[in-house]
Amino acid sequence: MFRLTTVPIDPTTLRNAADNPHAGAVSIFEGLVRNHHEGRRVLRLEYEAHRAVAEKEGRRILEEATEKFGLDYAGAVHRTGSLEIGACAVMVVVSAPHRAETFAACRFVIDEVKRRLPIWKKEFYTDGSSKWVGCAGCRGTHQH
Amino acid sequence: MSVPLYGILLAGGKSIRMGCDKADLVIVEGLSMRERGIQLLGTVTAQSYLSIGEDDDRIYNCPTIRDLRKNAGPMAGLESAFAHSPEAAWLVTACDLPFLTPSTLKHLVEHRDPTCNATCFKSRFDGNPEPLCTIYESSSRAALEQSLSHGRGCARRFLSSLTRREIELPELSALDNCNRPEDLEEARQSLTHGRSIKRIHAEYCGVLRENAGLDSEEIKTEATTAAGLWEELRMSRGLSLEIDSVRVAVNDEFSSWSHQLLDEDKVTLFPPFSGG
Repeated sequence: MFRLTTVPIDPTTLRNAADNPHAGAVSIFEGLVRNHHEGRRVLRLEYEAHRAVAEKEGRRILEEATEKFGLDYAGAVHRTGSLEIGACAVMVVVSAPHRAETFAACRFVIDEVKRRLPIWKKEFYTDGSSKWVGCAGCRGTHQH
Repeated sequence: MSVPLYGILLAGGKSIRMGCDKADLVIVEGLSMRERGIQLLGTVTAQSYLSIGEDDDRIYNCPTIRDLRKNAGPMAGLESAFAHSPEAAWLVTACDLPFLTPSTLKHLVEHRDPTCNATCFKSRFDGNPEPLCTIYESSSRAALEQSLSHGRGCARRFLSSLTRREIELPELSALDNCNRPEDLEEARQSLTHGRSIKRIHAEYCGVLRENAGLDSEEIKTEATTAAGLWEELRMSRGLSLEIDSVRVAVNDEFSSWSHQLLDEDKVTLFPPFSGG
């Protein structure tokens, strides 16, 4: 189960979805909004996603993880919109018979989410400025 | 006109972004960019030559003119052409102009003004004179010698220093060049299938949405591939990224830049992802 949400992520609901009599381990990853980035003080973040492609690709990542690690359950939720410091931006929950698989799968899912999903964050700093993350130095000059 | 018009094709060197000599790349119907360039020049000039480097020892199946200077840039080719036939005017073109057509060259020749040093097109992007599809009259030779002897090889600067007749491009994309494999694919497909107008729903995300100042728009384009469309939108919408850092989806599926566009496709442009 993968979805995008504009409202705060409810960790209990997602955790409970992983309950399964076959599973002996659950691993959870929560990505939180922190108050600093590359030495700058961050006030809040804004996340934007391309819903259709992100949801399709998100489901693919969970299917791949389930197959690769033999999971009983794989779920992930990603927030969009404006997030304050400390808010949960992304949560991954996986369950499997043993912990080695859940730890590895949890790591795999968050890494792939960051790498493959069309989601962007803009940081707003305490000094009033803002910046799209990952676009530093992208503003190239055109040469004919 | 008593002054003959000859053609010289500047073939350049190795292209870092293409990973090989651009002139060797096959562009259409088995012709390399070099062969096609010579063929194009032949449609409007009495004789056309390939400009080759001072130390180039390859064999070509067309007349060549060897550079007199080493590593002096593209204008060294024109210098050697003037030395070869000082009485002639020279139509200079570059081999990496895959969209150049005989009719655009014909238009240039028909609007030639021999009383100026040069006749050239204005760039469709910035309106500046385009130096590498230009007729240089023999009256420009002295200025050229002077630039080169001062170590100034920049073609654009040289042309800007001349008296010139500037004309509008009859075909807007004729001088779009080709620096990456994606551009080449766009050129191949449009030369093979012809260019047709398509309606495209373009979507912008993240920093590109901010650059464009809108989420999405309906546009009409002659671009054949997603890469061709990107190049067009990058210019018209002032998009700030390079193609290497951008990904594209066609109809909500990730696609390659060489994906061939169809009428009514939805094309979404993604800046580098930063979720999580």
